[in-house]
Amino acid sequence: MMSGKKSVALLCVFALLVSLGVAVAACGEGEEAATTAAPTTATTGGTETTTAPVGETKTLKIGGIMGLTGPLSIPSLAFMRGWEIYADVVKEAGGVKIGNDTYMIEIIEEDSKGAAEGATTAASKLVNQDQVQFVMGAMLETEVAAIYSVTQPAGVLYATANINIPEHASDVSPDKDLFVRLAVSPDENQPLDLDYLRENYPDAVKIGVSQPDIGYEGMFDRLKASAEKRGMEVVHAEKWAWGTTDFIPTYTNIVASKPDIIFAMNSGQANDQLKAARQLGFTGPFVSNSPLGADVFLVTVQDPTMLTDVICNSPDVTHPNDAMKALMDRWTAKWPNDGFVSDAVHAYDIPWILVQAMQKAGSTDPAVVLATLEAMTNRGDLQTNEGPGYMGGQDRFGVNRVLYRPFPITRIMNGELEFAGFFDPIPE
Amino acid sequence: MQMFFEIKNLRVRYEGAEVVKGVSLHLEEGEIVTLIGSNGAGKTTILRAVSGLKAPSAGEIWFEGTRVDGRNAQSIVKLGIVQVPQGRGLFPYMSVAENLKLGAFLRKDRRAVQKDLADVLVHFPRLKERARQQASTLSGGEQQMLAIAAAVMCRPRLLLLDEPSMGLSPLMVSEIGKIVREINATGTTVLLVEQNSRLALKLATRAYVLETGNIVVEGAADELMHSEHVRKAYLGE
Amino acid sequence: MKSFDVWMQAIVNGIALGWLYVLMAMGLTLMLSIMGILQLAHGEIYMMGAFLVYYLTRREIGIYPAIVVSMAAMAVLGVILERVLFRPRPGRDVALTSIVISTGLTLILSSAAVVGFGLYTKSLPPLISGSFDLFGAGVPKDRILAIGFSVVALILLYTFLKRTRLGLAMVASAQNREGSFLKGINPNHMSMAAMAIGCALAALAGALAGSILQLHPYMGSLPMINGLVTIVLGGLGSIPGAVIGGMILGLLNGILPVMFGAAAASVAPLVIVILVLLFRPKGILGHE
Repeated sequence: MMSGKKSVALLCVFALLVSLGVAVAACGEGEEAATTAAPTTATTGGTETTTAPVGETKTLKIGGIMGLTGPLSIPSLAFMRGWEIYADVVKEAGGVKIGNDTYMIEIIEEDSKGAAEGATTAASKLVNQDQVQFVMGAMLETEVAAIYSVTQPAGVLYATANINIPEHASDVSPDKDLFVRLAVSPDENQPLDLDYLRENYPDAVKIGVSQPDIGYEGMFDRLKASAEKRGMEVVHAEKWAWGTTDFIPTYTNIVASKPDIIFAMNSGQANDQLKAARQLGFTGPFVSNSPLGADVFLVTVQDPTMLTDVICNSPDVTHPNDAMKALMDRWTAKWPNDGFVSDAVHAYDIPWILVQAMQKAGSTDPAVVLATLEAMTNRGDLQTNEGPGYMGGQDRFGVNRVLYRPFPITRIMNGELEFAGFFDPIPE
Repeated sequence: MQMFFEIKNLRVRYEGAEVVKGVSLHLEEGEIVTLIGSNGAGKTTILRAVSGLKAPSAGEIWFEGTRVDGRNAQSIVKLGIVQVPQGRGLFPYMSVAENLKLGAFLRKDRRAVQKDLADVLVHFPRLKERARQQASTLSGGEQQMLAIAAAVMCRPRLLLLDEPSMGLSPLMVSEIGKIVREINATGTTVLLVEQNSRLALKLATRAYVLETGNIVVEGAADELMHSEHVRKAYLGE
Repeated sequence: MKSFDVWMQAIVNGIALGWLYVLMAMGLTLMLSIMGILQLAHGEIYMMGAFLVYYLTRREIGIYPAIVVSMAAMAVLGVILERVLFRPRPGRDVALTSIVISTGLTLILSSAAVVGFGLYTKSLPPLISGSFDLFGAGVPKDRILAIGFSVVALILLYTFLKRTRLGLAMVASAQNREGSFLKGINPNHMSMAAMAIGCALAALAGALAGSILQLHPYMGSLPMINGLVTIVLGGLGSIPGAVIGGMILGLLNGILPVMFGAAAASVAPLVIVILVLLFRPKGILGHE
């Protein structure tokens, strides 16, 4: 078995070399960030800061969990980067004042590997080892449930980033303590999209819907009801299996139902779906109500004949507001080789909102922060990168623990982005 | 005088146990020499060592003045030492013709190979009939013929045959014997390893008797045929 | 009952998927039968081949030359891998160590890909745009083209294995390893050739998939599994078997989601594999 050992040793050396390469690359990246991030000013958002701290300067640790494996790895990485940028902004501003103390924000990031087990491990590590009082993140339902089962007993406030769970067991409810959703579910923008369609495509009434098989029924029913209310009709709904990469089978049936509009319900793969729909001959308006950036469509679909009449609800990177602009500049300075992913905009909101509530409460106690947050129910009580936000959900979920904020609408025409503006959610 | 082929004091171990315990033997050019002995005596192991499939633990193997032990199988075939192993070493799902062509894998003289292929098919009419058939569909005797014919395609100087008669009918055994003689008549030296000692001693000029890794008797084949020990132990008399 | 268009679209897509599986399966089966190794990192070769095409096309190199360069580069990588990692050493269990080594390699390559290529999905320039009218049904042109490329690649491979000295020697060494040594066939050369061809085919499959689907660091795991299922279905070591296995699996994956929905489609291929193995353990065209 001598040679067996030798080969294992060889493999170890190989692994070591690769790790070394990674480390060197990472160092280089760090240096670059340090030199280029400095000149940019802390213009992002309106975080109340103190430049001359009076009280003690403390560090507030917030845990952040995202799955860097699987179909959500890209937005997950962008989320982590959004958080890091928030921590940078606070640091450059000299900290945030909460009560009498000034706090630096340290975000401890963990990879859930896109699965419940990984999420449990990550949450346990954050709660027990890092002793965090706040945990945020996770986009899969199983991860959310796993994290909550660790944070709640420990008295830790968990702010989920999952946008797919309205009215699911894993969503906010009056019975679930220490749990908020600082991420807007995309079914809140469905009525906005349908209004936009009525206005711009008055003859289009028949809708074909595609949805992943991960419990979108509730959102689908709302879409159907909103459509009927507007004199539109869902003619076909097709479910695709989570993890699908080839959307031709899904769209074969949708396109065969001859819809005027295709509505791709909240999917990070709406770009691939658009490709499939267009390849199968569908030429009408295509709606993607996920946060997937409209710019991503341009980069990945490429063919301008496919990139027309596409309606997106993601922040438009070509028409950024001031907050987004600052965020994007920081991203580019820190990760010059990676294109900006707009999920970072929503990610940034989460710690920012938590801190806004802490500042209002003058406390970092999770229960106090939650109670304060629940009372911030007037439009403009909270600031977000997308505009004035507030906590709501009493009517729909029985408790005001869900973030509401304006939605952007962008239309792609002939490969160009047309920004329609930000729209306040309408109750329906 | 330089020996055509010579094994000196060869020792081979398998997983710690010594299977060949200091064997020496030699072949003159043009001879048929047989190595007989019962199952497990170490005959096949010696051939594997000669062909470079198994590294010896001690001893030397010489071929025409070149030391060949420790070389890889490919370079040994290149020198002209070709083995037809037990189980025939055929490629079961390739055609008879493909098996023959692969016999000449190392030869670069394409035209001569074509000619040899034609000659071989004349010599083995049964193979000619079945040239397109898969090797695995042939009968045992036909497979043995194919194995030997493929080895001949390599134009061997020394042909090592391991148990060519195994599992064959008596009629086929004598057919194989005839083929071995014919090959030898064209100038190819043959080292024949056999359990069928009667056939082996009939074909060979000289013989070695191997018992548990040692040569116990050697001599002219017809002498051994009459030796008391050989008759009792190997000819079942 | 579904319309004719739907059937045509489902079938063409299934055949296109099937051919991608066949390309993966060919590499796996060559390595398995010639080297006796299970190269579990084959999916990562597919991924790297696709990314290389992506970076080449970004440097203003046309997609077709880029695919050829990528295939050649992956072939060279295959030779290096064979030489450094997979070459058998006396006294070690080839199959087992290959599984350990290639599992490690999978992790290393996919992590390196995350670092090197980023987690962002990327797309290759389309091979061709629009749809093609097939008996009145619109089918995506890129799928038809992918089928064409795969078929040509396989015909070339088949001709190589059947008609050339090196190809015959490869087949021989897959069928009887020791027998091939005794013909003077160098097993290391055969292993290198198997790795080189396998990796080049994986790069082609990756590039085709990357063009009709998308690129990301973990793109290789599913085709790797489908490639394995294909050789299990078709029978180890048989090229026609791999084609049949790939077509069955591809058509299942192309047709079932359309006809019976996503849920049925995800279990059905597994059921078929179990059934085939139950009634024909050696696969459809496998030997013994």
